[in-house]
Amino acid sequence: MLELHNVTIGQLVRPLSVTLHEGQLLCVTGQKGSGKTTLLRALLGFIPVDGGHISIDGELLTPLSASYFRRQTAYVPQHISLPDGCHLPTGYLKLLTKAVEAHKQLLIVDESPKPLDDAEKQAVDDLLREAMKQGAIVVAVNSRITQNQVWL
Amino acid sequence: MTLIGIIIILLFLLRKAYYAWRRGLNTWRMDMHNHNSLREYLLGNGATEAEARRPFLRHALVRACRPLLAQWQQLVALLVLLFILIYLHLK
Repeated sequence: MLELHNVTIGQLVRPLSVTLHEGQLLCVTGQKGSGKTTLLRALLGFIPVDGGHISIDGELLTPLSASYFRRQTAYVPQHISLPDGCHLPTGYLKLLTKAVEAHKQLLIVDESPKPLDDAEKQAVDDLLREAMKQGAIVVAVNSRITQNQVWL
Repeated sequence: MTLIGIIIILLFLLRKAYYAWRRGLNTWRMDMHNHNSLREYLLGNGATEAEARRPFLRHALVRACRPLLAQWQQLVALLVLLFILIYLHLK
C-alpha cells in the first residue's frame, strides 16, 4: 500500500493525500510545470517533501529508507541522457516494457517526452494495465486514462 | 647521471598521469552534471549509488586512459629505459 499523506512540495504540489493499494493506478495530470515530475521524483526519494509524508506498507520514505523503497520500484523517466559509449535502450516504450517486466511492487511512469501516435498510446495503456494485473501500484503521468486522476 | 635520467623519466610519467587524472575527473564532473537523468534512472530502478555511478566511472576511466593507450609504445619504451637506468644506478 502506497500512502501519500498531506504531501506538499514547494509551491507546486498542494497538500495531497492518496492511498493506493496493489493493482491500483494513480494518474497524475496537469499543465507543463505543474509539478508532475516533481511529485514522481519525491516518490523516488530524490527530493524531500516539505510537508506530510509518503509511506509504503507503513514504512516511511526518508533519505535513509529511500534506497530500500527504490529496490521495490521500477521507474520510467521522461528522458535519459547517456554519456558517450554507454549503451542502454532509451526509447520510452522500451523502458516502459522493461519496467513492467521487472515485476516490481511500485511502477512510477513519467510522461513521454514526445507526442505518441495512437498505436504507441494504446501500447502504453496496455502495459500499464498489464502492470496493474500483476498487482503493481502504478503512478503514471498520463492524461488519457481518466480514472483515479489527480490534477496538479 | 643515471639518477638525473631516472628523475626526468619519472617526472615525465608523473606529468602524463596527472593529465590523465585531470581528464578523468573533468569527464566525471561533466557527466554527473549533464547525464544525471541516467543516474536517477538507475537509482529509480533499484540500483545502489555505487551501481548508478558505474557508467560514469567507466566513461571517466576510458577518457583518462585512451590517450595513454594510444601512445603505449612511448610508455613501454620509457618504462624499459627507466628500469635499465634503475638497474644501472643500483649496480
